[in-house]
Order: sequence, then C-alpha cells, then structure tokens
Amino acid sequence: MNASPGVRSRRLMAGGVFIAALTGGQASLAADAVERGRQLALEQCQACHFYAGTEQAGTVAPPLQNIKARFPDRKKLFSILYDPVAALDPYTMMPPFGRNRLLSDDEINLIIDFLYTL
Amino acid sequence: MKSSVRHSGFATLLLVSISVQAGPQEDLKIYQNYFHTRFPALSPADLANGSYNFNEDKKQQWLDIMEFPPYEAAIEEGKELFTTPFANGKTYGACLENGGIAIAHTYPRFNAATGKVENLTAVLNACRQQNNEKPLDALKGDLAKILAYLASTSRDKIITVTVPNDPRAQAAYEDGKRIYFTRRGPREFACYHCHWQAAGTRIRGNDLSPAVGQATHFPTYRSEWGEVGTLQWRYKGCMNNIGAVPLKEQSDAMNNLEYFHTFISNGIPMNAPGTRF
Ligand code: HEC
Ligand code: HEC
Repeated sequence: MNASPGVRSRRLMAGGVFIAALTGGQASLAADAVERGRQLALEQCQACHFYAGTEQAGTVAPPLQNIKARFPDRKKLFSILYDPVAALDPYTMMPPFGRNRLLSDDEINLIIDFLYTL
Repeated sequence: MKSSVRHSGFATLLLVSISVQAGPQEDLKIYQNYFHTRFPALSPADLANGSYNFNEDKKQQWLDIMEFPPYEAAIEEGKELFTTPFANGKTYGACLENGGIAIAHTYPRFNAATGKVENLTAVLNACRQQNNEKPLDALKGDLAKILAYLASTSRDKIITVTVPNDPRAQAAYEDGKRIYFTRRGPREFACYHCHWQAAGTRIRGNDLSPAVGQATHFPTYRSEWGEVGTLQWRYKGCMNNIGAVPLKEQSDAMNNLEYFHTFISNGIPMNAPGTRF
C-alpha cells in the first residue's frame, strides 16, 4: 500500500482548515468539502473499504486508492455511489447510497471530492 | 445522517441462488464445496467455530471462556424443566420421538400432517398446548434452556436435516433459500452477502462467519444476551442490525429460513449449546 497519497491528503486538509480560519476563500471551501467528505466516508465507507486515513476499516471490499486515475469520469463514480447494483454489479454488497437516500446527492459529491484526494 | 430516509421494507431485487432449481441435494454439494474451496484449511467441524476461525485473539479468548462454558447451568436447568411433569402429570418426553433424547440434530423437520416445517421449539410449545400449558417465549428463557439440554444429548451427532420428496417440503426449502438470498433493509443486504460472499472478511471490527456451520451450535450462550438463546433470536438480531423489519419468530418464513439454513450444515457435527462473545 502506498502511503503517500494519504499523507498528502492529510496535509492538504490541515492546510485547508488553517486557511479557512484566516480567509474563508475559494480554496478553503474546497478543503472544507474534502473534510466533510472525509467524515462522511468514515461513517459510510470504512466499514467495508480500507483507505488512507481509516480508523477501523473492514476488509469486505477492495481498498480505495488511486481514485482519480481509476475513475477519471466523475459521473461514473457518482453512479457507483448512487446505485452500485445498477452501475457495478447486480450482486454487489455495496449499498445503493443514493437510490435509497442514505446519502443526498450533495453528500455523495462531498465524498467524491474526498475520494479524489486518495 | 439527517438526509437519510429509513427504508425498512424489503428491496424488490431478489438474488437468484447460485444453482438453478437443482434441488436440495445438489445445492448442498455446490454450497459446501464452495466454502471448502474458499477455506481449504478449515474442516467442516472447523467451520462450525464461525468467526473465531479468522481471528486468533478472539479465538483464544473464546477457548478461555470454553474452559467453564457459560451454558452449563442452562443445560442443568433445562433438564430439570424438561423432566418436570405438567400439571396434568404428562411430560414433554411423551410428545417426542425417543423421549426427546438425541434428536435435536434432525430438526427442523417437515411435518407431513401440517404440510409445514417445524423446529424443536414448535414441537415443545405444541406439546405444552396439548397439555393445557401456555406456550413459552420461543427465543429465550426456559424454552431455550430446554433446547440447550436436548441439544446437549445430540452433541457430536451429525446434522441430518431432510427435505422429503413432497412438493410442500421442497417448496418450504426453496422459500427458505429465497429468503436467505433476498436483500432487505435500507442497505439492501442479504444474509448471503455477509455470510457467504464476504465470509471470512471483516465488516467494521466484526469477522464474518460462513453460512455453512452456523446452525450447529444453537441454542447458544451469547455474552450480549447474558443467556442462552435460539437461532431465530440470532436471525432477528442480524435483521435488526441491518435496519430491516425482522421476520416474526415461528412464522412460516422464519421456519423455512431455519430449514434451509440448517440443511446446508448437514454432515457437520452438532456442537450445541455453544458460546459466543
Ligand atoms: C457493505 C459494504 C460496502 C460499503 C459500506 C461500501 N462499499 Fe464500496 N464496494 C463494496 C464491494 C464489495 C465492492 C466491490 C465491487 C463489487 O461488489 O462488485 C465495492 C466497490 C467500490 C468501488 C469500486 C472500486 C473498484 O476498485 O473498482 C468504489 C469506488 C466504492 N466501492 C466506493 C465506496 C464508497 C465511496 C463508499 C461509501 C460511501 C462505499 N464504497 C461503501 C462494498 C461496500
Ligand atoms: C451486514 C452484515 C450481516 C448481514 C446482512 C447478516 N449478518 Fe448475520 N452476522 C453478522 C455479524 C457481524 C455476526 C457476528 C459475527 C459472526 O458470527 O459472523 C453475525 C452472526 C450471525 C449468526 C451467528 C453465527 C455464530 O457463529 O454464532 C447467525 C446464525 C447469523 N448471523 C445469521 C444471519 C442471517 C440468517 C442473516 C439474514 C437474515 C444474516 N445473518 C445477515 C453480520 C451480518
């Protein structure tokens, strides 16, 4: 497992919080989104997926890494989180977060912002 | 999460089973072979040790607990309850084959007279009613203690659940299988997902036990329960945990689920009562 993306994302978030406190500008909004996405992922994803920054990750599912390279199409990634039964695999264990409104569209987008830092 | 809506109904999607209408015996071969291939180091008897196969620390803790099994008292009390006559002087033993001794590993059974599946719980409660006694709680308490005693007389006997060549029995088995593979709750989890597809992996901090071998050690003393409880209580626990509306104990659906789920442990030695922490 390559540790550097996680280190980078943590540094980025810490920097974001710092800048937000000072300026509240565009960059801080983005960092804030990543931070909220990170929280949501801890609540909804780490039960099954390991990724950089997980605390008690499950081993049910493949680790989340290199997301930007592997899912360059944001719409495609959204559709996986929205309804993996339709977008990924009809037998998947991954919950249909969007279809069953476990997450709002906004929340899915926040998680995707975070995933793109992995 | 504020935006989430709790869906508690059943998802419409039904997972088709791995075998296509092959019949129970063919299923059994395919299913057991699947777990054997997944976990070649585990014998069928090992499978019955469930999640402890996948976590050395927890296995050690469990073995320590087993030095003085917390279900021992339930077996003693269960024996007392089982042998004490009803107000009319009759006993449970008179309702059961072989007086109830060494038969637990053959349940649930299909009852040709009613056309339905019944587990030992149902037989014991029917016996009480025939003798003008009120039925007992089907999940815990005295009834589970009696089951613990009866199961102890079947210890090491091989699970032998049969699906007779009666269309109603076959239908009950198929119904149980369908329920096992049905997604339910807001996350649309089937039993199949956690205890088949993901068996041997960890969800949060929990190692997931394989479906084959799960039924062999019930009733079981669970630390979380603080007492011995039945298999259907455990099923309800998993249904609750995933936010689904649990099936009602002793309903046809629940009994058919138990029929299928116990059938797939055929050939594995009974090790009930068991302990889980
Ligand atoms: C209950 C288990 C579970 C949960 C919770 C879960 N997933 Fe998954 N996820 C899976 C499984 C299993 C797969 C593997 C694909 C399959 O089933 O076919 C998967 C696949 C994926 C994939 C495709 C990965 C790849 O490498 O192809 C992505 C992306 C993903 N999940 C993201 C998420 C995100 C983000 C969350 C939380 C919002 C999440 N998952 C929550 C079980 C889960
Ligand atoms: C989201 C995951 C999940 C789902 C879905 C699930 N279970 Fe479980 N189940 C668990 C966990 C975790 C445990 C405790 C660890 C273990 O023994 O596997 C457990 C334990 C059990 C046990 C006790 C195993 C033992 O060794 O004592 C039984 C029996 C069981 N489940 C049956 C079912 C049935 C039947 C269903 C479907 C109605 C179901 N489970 C659905 C996660 C799940």
